[in-house]
Amino acid sequence: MIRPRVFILGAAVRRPLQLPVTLVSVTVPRGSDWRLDYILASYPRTVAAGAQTSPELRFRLFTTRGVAHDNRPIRFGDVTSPSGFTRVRRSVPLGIPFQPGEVITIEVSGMAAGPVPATISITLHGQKGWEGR
Amino acid sequence: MFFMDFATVRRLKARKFAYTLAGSIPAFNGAQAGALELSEAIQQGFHFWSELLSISFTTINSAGADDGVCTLTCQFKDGANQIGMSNTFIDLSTLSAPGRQRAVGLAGDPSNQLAAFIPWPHLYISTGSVIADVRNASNSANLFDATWNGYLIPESSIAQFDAWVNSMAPASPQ
Repeated sequence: MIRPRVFILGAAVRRPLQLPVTLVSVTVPRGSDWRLDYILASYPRTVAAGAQTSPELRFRLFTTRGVAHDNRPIRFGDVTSPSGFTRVRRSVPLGIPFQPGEVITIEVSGMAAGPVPATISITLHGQKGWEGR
Repeated sequence: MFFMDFATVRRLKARKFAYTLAGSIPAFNGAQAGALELSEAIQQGFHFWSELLSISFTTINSAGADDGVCTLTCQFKDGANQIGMSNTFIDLSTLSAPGRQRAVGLAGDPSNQLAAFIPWPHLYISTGSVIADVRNASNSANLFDATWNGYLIPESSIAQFDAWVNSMAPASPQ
């Protein structure tokens, strides 16, 4: 009997974001197919120098199948963010199926010039078992 | 859509229920090295179909100030899966991004105002538990509060639950 099971892939936890491009990889665990439902990412609005920043980040997903799945922007620090909060969270809905053992590479690119000495946190939220394995 | 419709709730004799895990995650430099596992067993005779997770936490830094920077990571488990529900300890700042920017923080006035609702469609089986293994990288304790909203499914209805889940399964992979 197939029951969906929440499984979260953590990636790039507290990794310095080196703009314009940072690459991170994570492997889909063996034993079950896995459907990526959405990406959650957070990024501090305040960089080391103390200035407020609002970089526009884009995520692209590459897999071992050689597919570039998505290229959706996540905008941080935009007008909908409450002023004064130091960290902003955004989610991107996806709904992409992956096979066991598949390596997902996430390319994070930004509009800022040069490296940003801040950290970005990304988690990939999905469900195992939709394909019966 | 994974939200249980009311007709299914009645058919399964499901009962609206919520599990809450809350606690003070000890300081990293203390005896517990910043680690605390919160756990609540699933009610006997029932399975727990979780739909939503809401979470909030404080952001007290090592100096005792509220600087709005998350120092908590967590691995969620269901008590029936030794490897947990994530491949690593995930940064809670991806689930919720609390923290007000202050020049001087107040240890007794934590900034956990922001709550996040995260889709969490997961069946905790009757022998399992709702578990959050939380780690704190700060040398000050931080508060953690998480609530899973969902339904208790009677053991006698689990076959009907499986049929309902399968009826929602998405199409084959692209």
